[in-house]
Order: sequence, then structure tokens, then C-alpha cells
Amino acid sequence: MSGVFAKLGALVLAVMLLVGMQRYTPSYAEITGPIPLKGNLGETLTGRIFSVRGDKVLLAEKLRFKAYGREVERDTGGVFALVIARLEAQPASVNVGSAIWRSAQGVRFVASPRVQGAPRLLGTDRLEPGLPQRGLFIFEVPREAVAGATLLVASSRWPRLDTQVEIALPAKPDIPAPLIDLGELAYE
Amino acid sequence: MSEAVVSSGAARIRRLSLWVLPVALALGLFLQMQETAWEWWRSRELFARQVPTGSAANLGGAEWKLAGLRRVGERPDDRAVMLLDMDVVVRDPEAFAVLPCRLVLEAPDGRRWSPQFLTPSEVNRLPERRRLTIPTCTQALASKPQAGATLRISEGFVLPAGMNGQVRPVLSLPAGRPHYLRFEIPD
Repeated sequence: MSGVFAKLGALVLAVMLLVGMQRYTPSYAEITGPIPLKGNLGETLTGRIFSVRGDKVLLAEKLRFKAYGREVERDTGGVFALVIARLEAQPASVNVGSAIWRSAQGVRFVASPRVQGAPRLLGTDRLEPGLPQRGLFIFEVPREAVAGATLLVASSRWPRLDTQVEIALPAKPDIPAPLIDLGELAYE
Repeated sequence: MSEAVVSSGAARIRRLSLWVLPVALALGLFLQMQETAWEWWRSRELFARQVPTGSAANLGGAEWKLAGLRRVGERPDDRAVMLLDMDVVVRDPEAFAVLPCRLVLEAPDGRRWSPQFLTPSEVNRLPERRRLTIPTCTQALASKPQAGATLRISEGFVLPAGMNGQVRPVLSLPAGRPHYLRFEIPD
């Protein structure tokens, strides 16, 4: 009789083990997903192929800049979030092609295509070792997506088994400026 | 419950099967990974061959010789523009035409700069290059030259000022890997 119970117990254990493995085994996408490197503003974070330091976050309701010889002004129903940052390639030339503003609610915003041609945009030129670039990531986000956001920087939008730098941005940001002129911005 | 009687023949087969199992698993893994391992081997730069100044070396179906590496200009923010010229004699057109070409400048600390587009004004200031169209490495490979063809290849680089004399050209081609070439530069 005890033998029957032992076999039944083993069967139940095996079923539980299999169900557990089925439910909690990470997916292929999770196993080969980005490798997060977390930090804060002002901290230099060095990943596999580049280093980045986020310095400052500025908010604006309007942006003014010169693009392709023309004066351009952009307004928004939300807010423009500007991150002044420094990027450097190491140990080899590399394109850092992805900057994402992730809100506290988890919504992801890619860098705004509405500011193309603006001066000192990061992510547009290839990075070279020993030649750090200091410039801007610019996002257009709803006002509720500003507080407690995270800046994600990676070589591609969906990095596989590669560094994704995650910089925690201020939980209580400043009030947006009515207008920021990118030509007059102090980057240093 | 009664114990089953196992014949000696069956026991031998069972024992043999157990010994064969790890071999079969290892063989399966090898067959499964063979392609991936080969891909990995052919994509890595594992063995550098030093090429002395003034010498030519074979790689990827051609003979490669460093023709010149010089600083040709400056850009703002302490950036120097350098121009690399290579002379190539094609020996095996099929191997030579396999893209991509990886021609970089390497510093002693391992940092590497990839070629960059130079503005015509940066290149045309050199008298011997006016009205000349010299292909880049990728353009030369893509042009699929015949065996025996002699080519001049040129690449531009932007790197920190002061690296002149410290960087060496490194060439890696799909048909040559895991071997690659590192060219010595004249003092």
C-alpha cells in the first residue's frame, strides 16, 4: 500500500515540477534580451561598446532651433523633455542608435523625429573612441510621463545580449520653460 | 509484486545502451553546433599577422601592401583627419569579392577607428588626388576585379589629434578570418 502512495507522490511531484518549469522558464526573448546597466544623472556608465553620462534634464513647451539654414519653432500638446548627455565609443567606433524615454508607467517614447536637423543631437553621428560627443536627446512626451522617468540608451532599439544603459531621471522635475532656444543652450 | 528475471543478453544490451547514450548525445550536440561553431570561427579575428613596413601580405584572395598613412587635415574639437592608402593585387577574385571589408586603424591600447566619409574639400587639397576617384575597400571588393588586377584603395578616418604615428592599419576579410593583418608603419 505504501508503495502505491510513494508512486502517487512521485507522480504528483513530477507534475508539479513540470507545471512550474512550464510557467516560470524565461522565454527566449527574455534570456537574450538587453543587459541593463543602471545609474543616475551625473554618473558615467560604461557598457560593452560605449559610455554615457546623463547630466541634466530640461523641460520646455516650445523649442526653437536652426535646421538646414532655417529658423524652426516647434510646440507640443505635451512637453519637450531634453536630456543633456555625453557619449563616447569604446573600444571601437560605434553607432548609438537608440534613446528611449520610459515613463514611470512603463510607456516608451523614442527620440522625437520633429527636431531633425537641430544642432548637437546625439545618436545622429557615429561615435569615435577618444572623441566624446556632448549634446541632446530630445523627446516629446505627455506631461504625466515626465515624473520618475528613465532614459534608456543602447546601440539599437531592441538590444540582444547587449548593454542597455538605464538612467533614473528626477522624480520631481522642474516646471517646463515656455521656450528653449537650442542655439543658446549651455551644454557644458 | 514479483521481480522480473532479466536474461544475461538483455542485461548486456542495457549496459551497452547506457554506454552508447553519452556518445550519442555528444555526437548530436556536435552535429547541431557544427555550423554555429564554424560561423563563430570564421567571424572572429583570432590570429594577427604582422606585416613589416614595405612588405605585402596575402589575405582573402589578394596581396595587400600599405602605400601610406598620413594626416591630411584637422576638424574642430581636436580631431585629426587621416588618409590610408593600400595597394592590392588580386589573386583569387572569388575570395576577394566576399564582403564586408573591415579596414580600421588600431591604437596600441586596442581602440579602433572605422573609416569615415571625408568631405571632397578634405581630400582634394592633396594635389595628387585631384580629379581621381579612388575606391574604398568595400567599393573595391564590390567591383569584383579580375585575377591579376592592381588596385589602389583609400579610406579616411577621423580620430583624436595626436594619434599620428601611434595607430596601425588592421585588415580583416571574411575569406581570411580568423587570420587578419596588422601593418607596421614607418617610424
